[in-house]
Formats: sequence, C-alpha cells, structure tokens
Amino acid sequence: MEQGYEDAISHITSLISTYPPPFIYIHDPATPHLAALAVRASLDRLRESSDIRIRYAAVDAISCFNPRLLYDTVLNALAEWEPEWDQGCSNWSGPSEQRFNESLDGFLHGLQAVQASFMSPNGQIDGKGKARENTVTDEDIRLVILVERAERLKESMHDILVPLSRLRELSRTEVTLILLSDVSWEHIKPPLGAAPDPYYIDIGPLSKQAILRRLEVLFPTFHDTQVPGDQTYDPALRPLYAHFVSTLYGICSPYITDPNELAYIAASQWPGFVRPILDEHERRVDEHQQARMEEEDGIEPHGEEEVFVELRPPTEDVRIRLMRLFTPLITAALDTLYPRLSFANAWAKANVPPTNLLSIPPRQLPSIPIHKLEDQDSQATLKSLPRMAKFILVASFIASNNPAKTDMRMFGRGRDERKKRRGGSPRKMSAKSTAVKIPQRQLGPMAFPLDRMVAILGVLLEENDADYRPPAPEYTIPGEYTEMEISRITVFSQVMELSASHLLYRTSPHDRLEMSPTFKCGIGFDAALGLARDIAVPLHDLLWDPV
Amino acid sequence: MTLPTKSQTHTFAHTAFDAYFALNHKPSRTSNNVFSNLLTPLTTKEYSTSLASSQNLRSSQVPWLGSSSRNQLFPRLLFELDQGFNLLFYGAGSKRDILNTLATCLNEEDNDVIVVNAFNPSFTVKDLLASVENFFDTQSCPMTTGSGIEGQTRRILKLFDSPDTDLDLFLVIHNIDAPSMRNIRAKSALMALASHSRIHILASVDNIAFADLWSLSEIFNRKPTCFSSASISASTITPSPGYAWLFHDLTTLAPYDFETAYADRSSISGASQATKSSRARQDIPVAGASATMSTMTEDAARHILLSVTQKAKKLFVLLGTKQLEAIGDLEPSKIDAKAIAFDYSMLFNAARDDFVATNDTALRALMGEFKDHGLMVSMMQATTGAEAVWIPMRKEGLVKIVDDVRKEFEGM
Repeated sequence: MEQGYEDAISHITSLISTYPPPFIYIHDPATPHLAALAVRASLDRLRESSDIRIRYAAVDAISCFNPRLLYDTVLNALAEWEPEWDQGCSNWSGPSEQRFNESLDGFLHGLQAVQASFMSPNGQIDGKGKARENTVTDEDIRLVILVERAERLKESMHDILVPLSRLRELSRTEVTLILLSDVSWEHIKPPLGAAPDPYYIDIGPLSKQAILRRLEVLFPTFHDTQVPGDQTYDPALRPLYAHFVSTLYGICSPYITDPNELAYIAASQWPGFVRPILDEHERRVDEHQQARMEEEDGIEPHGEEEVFVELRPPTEDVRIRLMRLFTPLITAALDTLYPRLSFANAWAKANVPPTNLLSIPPRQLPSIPIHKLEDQDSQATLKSLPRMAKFILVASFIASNNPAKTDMRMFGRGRDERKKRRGGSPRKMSAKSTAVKIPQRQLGPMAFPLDRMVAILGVLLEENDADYRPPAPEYTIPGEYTEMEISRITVFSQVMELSASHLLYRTSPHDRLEMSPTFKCGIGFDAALGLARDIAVPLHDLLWDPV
Repeated sequence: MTLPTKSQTHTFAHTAFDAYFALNHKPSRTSNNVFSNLLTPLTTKEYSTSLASSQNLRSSQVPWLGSSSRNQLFPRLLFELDQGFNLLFYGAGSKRDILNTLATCLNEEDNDVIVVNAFNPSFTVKDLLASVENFFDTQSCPMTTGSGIEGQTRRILKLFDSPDTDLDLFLVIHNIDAPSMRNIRAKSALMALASHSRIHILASVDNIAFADLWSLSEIFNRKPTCFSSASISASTITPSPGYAWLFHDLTTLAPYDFETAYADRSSISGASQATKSSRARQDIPVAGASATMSTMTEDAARHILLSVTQKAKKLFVLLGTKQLEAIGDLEPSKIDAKAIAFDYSMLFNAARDDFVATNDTALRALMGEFKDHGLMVSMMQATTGAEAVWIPMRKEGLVKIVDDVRKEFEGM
C-alpha cells in the first residue's frame, strides 16, 4: 500500500507522533488518491501502536460538499460513532446531547467535546480546571482530520477555509488538519493571507521501482482463490510475471502513470500471455503419460498414482520470444482498454492466442492476430433505422464535412455546368501563407442549416433512390417525386427523432420554431460509410476531402 | 420552381434543391433600403377603414365554407376521432371558424368539449389544465395533490383512468404551435393528455415549421384501445407516449383577424408574438437590444402629454430635442437605443439650467410619470454603466409632437 511513499509517510508519522503542526498540506500532483490511501494506512498503524492515542477522521471533500456534512462526518469519525438506521441515523451528540453541525461554532464545541470524551473514556467530563489532574494529559492525544481532494473546498466552502486552517487555535484542542490535493496551496488559499501557511509536504511521482513493486505484489498468492486446475497464477510463474510487468511498464509508461491502470492492463493480458506456456506444459504432461502407458504396456495408470509434472518456469529465450510476440498485442490493449472503450474480460476472451504457440518453430511464427472489439450495439441500431433515416444521416454527414462553398460543384447539376465549375486562373501562391490548413476531419463536424441538408438529401434521393420507388405515373416532371419526398412532414419529424437519439445534434436553441434550425452530424466516418453501403450511395465520391 | 422551356431543358429539370444550390452559390447582399424607413405604419383608424372597404374578403373559393362539404367532412373526422386518433389541421388561413363549428357539432351530440384559444399571448398550459379540472371537478380524486402542471395532469389522467366512468373529452386547441405551448413542460403535459384514449385533441397549426415540433415516434404512436375495461389489461401494445396525429389540410384563406387582435397593429415589426407589448414596456431593457422604435404611437403620446404638468412637458421637449439632434444625421436603419440614448446626468444638468427641476428627486419624479406610461425608457449603457434615457418613438412622430408642444409653450 505504501510502496513508493515511504519518505513522505515516515515524515508524517514522525510529525504526528511528536509535535504535529496545526496545519499540514500534502501536495501530490501525480497520484493523489494513492497518496491518500498511504496516509490513511499510516494513520491506522499509528492508531494500533500504543504509545500515543490518536483518533483520525478521513473525509473526502467531494462527498462532503456542505459544511454541515463535513462537520458531521468529522465528528462522527473522531468520536468513533456509527449512525445507525434503527436509531434514526442520529449523529454523535456528545454527553450533553447537543447538535454540533449547525455552524462552525457548534463544530468547535463538538471538537472540544470529542477531545474531552477522549480523555475520560467513561463518559464523564471533568471541568476544565481539573483537566490537568488527569492521568491522561493533553499532550498524549492527537486528533487528526485528513481531507482528501481538498481543491473542492475552495468552491464548496471557501468562507470556512480560513477557520479550518486555524482550527487548533479556535477550538483549543489538539487537532491537526491535513489537506491532501493535487493542486498546490497557492491556488486554493484564501486571499489576503488570512490563513496561516501550512507545513508543506510535497510528494513526487512514483518511481519506476515503486510502480513495479506495486504491480508485482498484486500477483495472487493464495491457492484458494484460483480455479482448481487453472494454473494461470501458479507461484512458479511469479518470476515470469515480474519480467512481464517490467516489459509492460516499458511499453505503457509514456502514456500511463497510474499503477492501477497498468495493473488493469496487465490483468487483461496475463492469461493470454501465459497460455502458450500452459499449453506447452499440458503437452509435456500428455507426453509423459503416453510414455508411462507405453512402459506399462498399455495398462492404464492407477488414479492415485498420477505423476505430478511440475510446471517449470520458462527459459530465457522462450521468454524473449513470448515478449516479442506479445508486444503489439499490449500496444493494442493500451489503445482500447485505457480509454475503456472495452473492458478487460471481453478483451481477454476475444484475443486468446493460437494454441501451442511455442511449439511452432521460430522461423514460421506468425504474428498474433489482434481482435479489436467494436461497439456492437450502436452498429445494430444504425442498421435497423428506416431507409429515409439512413439517407438523412448520410446527407447530414456530407453536409457536416463538406464546406458550404463546394456544394455547387459537388451537387449542382444541369444547365450551368460550365459556369459553376470554372475556378478562375491559377492564383499565385502568396509568399507567406498565414494559416495552416487543417483538414476538416480533424476539426470535427460543422454546423449546417436544415435547408442545406434537405437539399443534399434531395440530390441523394434523386440519384440513388430511383430504382426502389413504386411506380408513380402522376409525377411527370423529372425530379417531382423527389421534391414531394423531401417536403413531407416525416422528413422533418425524422430529423427531430434522430436528434432525440443523439445521432444529430441540434445547435440552435430548442424553443424557437424556425424554418431552418442548425444541426451537426453525430456519427463518425465508419458508421457513415456503413450506412452508405446499405443504401448504395457512393459516399467517397461525394466527400470533398475523402480519407 | 420555374418550369424550363423546351429549348432550355437539357437532361435535368430545375428542382428545389438545385435552386437552393444555385441561390447559395454566391453570397447574397441585403439592401439597406428598408421598407419601414419609407412609410409610416397605419394608424388603427386607417387600418379598420381600409379593411372594411376591401373587396377581396368574400371572393375566395375554398371548400369547407359551404355546409354541403362540411357535411361530408365532419362525419369522417368524427370517425377518425372515434378510432383513437388526434386531428391536426394545417393550411393557410384562419381555421378558427370551422373548428368552432366542429366543436358545436360535437357538443350537439352530447360530448364534452373544451375550446382553447392558445394564440392569446397570455395563455399558458396551466389555464388549460385548470379549465379541464374545473369542468370535471377533479378535487374528489384521492392521492394526487400538487398544484403544478404535473399535479394537475396526473389528477386529470387519474380521473379518466377510472373504469366506471365513460367520460370523453374533446379538446379543441387553436394554434397548438403557440409559443406558450412550445416549451417542454407544456409539451409533456399535452402529450400525456393526448396519449389517453378518452381524451381527443383537435388542433390547428399556422407556423410553417410546425413539423419540427414533434418527433416521428410521437406522431406515429397509437393510443391504447380502451373500449371496455377488460381490454385494458389484455392490451398487448405497450403504449408509447405521443400524439397520434392525422394531418388534414384545412386551407380556408380566411383572414387572421381574431388571432391577431392581440397584436399591435401599428408596429412595423409585425404582429408576431415575439414583439409582445409587455416586453416593450420594460423599464430597463437589455442594453444591447435594438428595441423597436415604434412602440409608442403619436396619438398615444399626445394623449399622455395632455395629462401631465407643464414642467413635465418642458422636460419632454428638452429630451425630444436632444434626441432628435442625436438622430439627426444617422440613417434610419442604424438608429437604435444605444446610439441615441441621452445620458442621465447630462439631462439633469440641462434640466437644471432650464428650471425644469431643482434636484435629482424632482427630476426622477417627473420622469417616473413618463416611465409608467412608457413614453420614456431608461437603460444601462453597456460601456460606461451609466443610466441613459430615450423616447421610443419614430422620428417623424417625435418631430411633430415636439414641434406641437413647443408651439404650445410659445403661444402661451
């Protein structure tokens, strides 16, 4: 738990056990949640050890977004009181049955009451004058309040931040406030210097050794947790796991610093990685049994005498071969699993390596196929849309990605062919081209007015839908049928429906009922290509800058 | 779309989308020659006289005006209502008369009908629900309290859900596309009512873009059939919320006299609901808004000026002159409140010099009267944060009034 934080933790424990400063600020820009766990673990350890009496309250500034919540959580934790449902979830109210969460003043009284009850645990409060005559003096007790994610305090409770930083003077108890955050105190502190400077403890990012040690510790040690017969987590494979983890770190560390994320990827890759070795082992077991059967002339071996062939850790060159084979797989896993586009179980199931990989001679070793998991659900929804909706989505994709000026060139047809297609004489390139032209694909979809999309839809229908239409002899003028089609109410209502299912995004305000609200396309290139294939529209020819 | 002549047709005819691309190919430039700068708007008297003498009103020939065609149409509509659809009427012209006739027709057959004029700017969905509640006396319904829109809707639905009653409600909503009915809460309340099999809605729409109000699933859903109480539980169709609209073209080409009765006839920006007169009367409008200049007519201004004191008239003349000086050379299209508003402190100095007001309180008292009537509007300037005042009138009207009042002073 505390790997990599040993220095800071020893610093904190020595401070707290001797003379804790009233206000400590721990700044960990890299992994504050791990630092918080380490601090909590160390406080627990201090509590177990008997030389000083310490009670601590570890609260999260996100879940305590109200001062009242903060006071309640802190006091309940310091008094070691658990609100119970049957007693009406009452908070700790001290021997005098007061409410301590009304205001800061109440909180201070609550702290004093907690300290007093701490000193005389049988529940009697001695008056202040008699405090010194107790066997337990003030110097022996410590009340520690640890607030994680302290940067939230600035937004939710900025007016009590100053009293919180001076808690010891105000309440006249032995309380220490520890704030832990990935933002430095400079950004959180109240202006005008009203809060005293804290005791700064800065924690740097975890070193490689620390991360590797954390990952190695996660290899399961107990045989009970394993599925019987499954040797994926056999203790003999532990050194291999260490090597595996260090290779994984080498591949992923430019992108990931959090050890938990690395552990997630490692957990998803390990069963696949270890599979060839286990296959090899099973092969050896089978061979051994075959050999024994031949020895005994076909007599079946007795059940009780099954020889246990040990699982041997692989040799160095086997390890190197495996690593080389699996490196592209790890990179692909990083791409998919780190942004959680898919999850570890699904990935592991989809990417089982071919059996008996190690028995294939090295020269003929193929690379392991990588199955990227695609989002099956959204594809199914797109396929099941009605035909007009598919046309609308393709038209909106074109509208979002083609600049408006190119419409005439792409879709204009008829008499003015020559007029629209002329581009003018070649212009001289200006000596300093100021702006870098970023391709439209990287800029994201553009907003388009509905009129433009309906016009593009008309062109698409006119050119691609003619074969699928029922005979309609009443429309004699070419193009009339399509015009009727695009002026139906269902086209507009379909657009509303698609924007409700977030396949189109409406960018103009919703309340206004105007002729041409603006939209943006909400599907990506691959989805659009799939739809275009469904309706037999050549999407590539219609995009201004095709991929 | 223009039909091309034989010589011009190549392979394609010029369809609407071709026209769109052709028109948007080049950027269009709008002219600064605005119609509203050339003419003053009609006064109410002029409008009503010209309307009375107009010939065109009786000459339009559309169906649904004669009773024979109505006799053919109405049974069909009633049958469709019976089968569990709601009816939506579109088409140019006021559909109010014919819908009201339909409503009376329904009422004669012993049905409960509620007619709602949603084009009234002060109408809200709450009024509709309150009138339904009062009609059926839903107070006796247990278990549903709450006076908000959701509470009222729930009560009404609970009343209609109870299997013993055979109540049938016909809601005739004129202009279901009114702004007060477009917000989400109103829409969801209406949808809840419309999905109920005992409540039938007949609505009319006049906005061109009415198709953008509802999504496809809302238009095409079907109400759960509710002919007997047994079929409620046996219904296999899961009811999805929505209006089961059937669209009917009810073009009448009748003038929208009744619907636009609430609009300000003399405003150039039109009778649309967007220029509500209540909004124009705001004391401190947003500094960036270019409020319409014509919110105050000449007659109204004269009327107000008749009833104020001498000092107030002097103040009005003062501000009017200063404002006209500021307008003086500007083009009419560029005039807006920001450009011509007169700084309050400068006005105070000028008023003091002219012996109109001795201190700030007196000046504010005088201005307060004008502000109440809407003849003077004060606003916060965005740049300096100081208060500025201006008179919301058109230039010609202001010129005339200021001259008249000044003549009055000189004549005295």
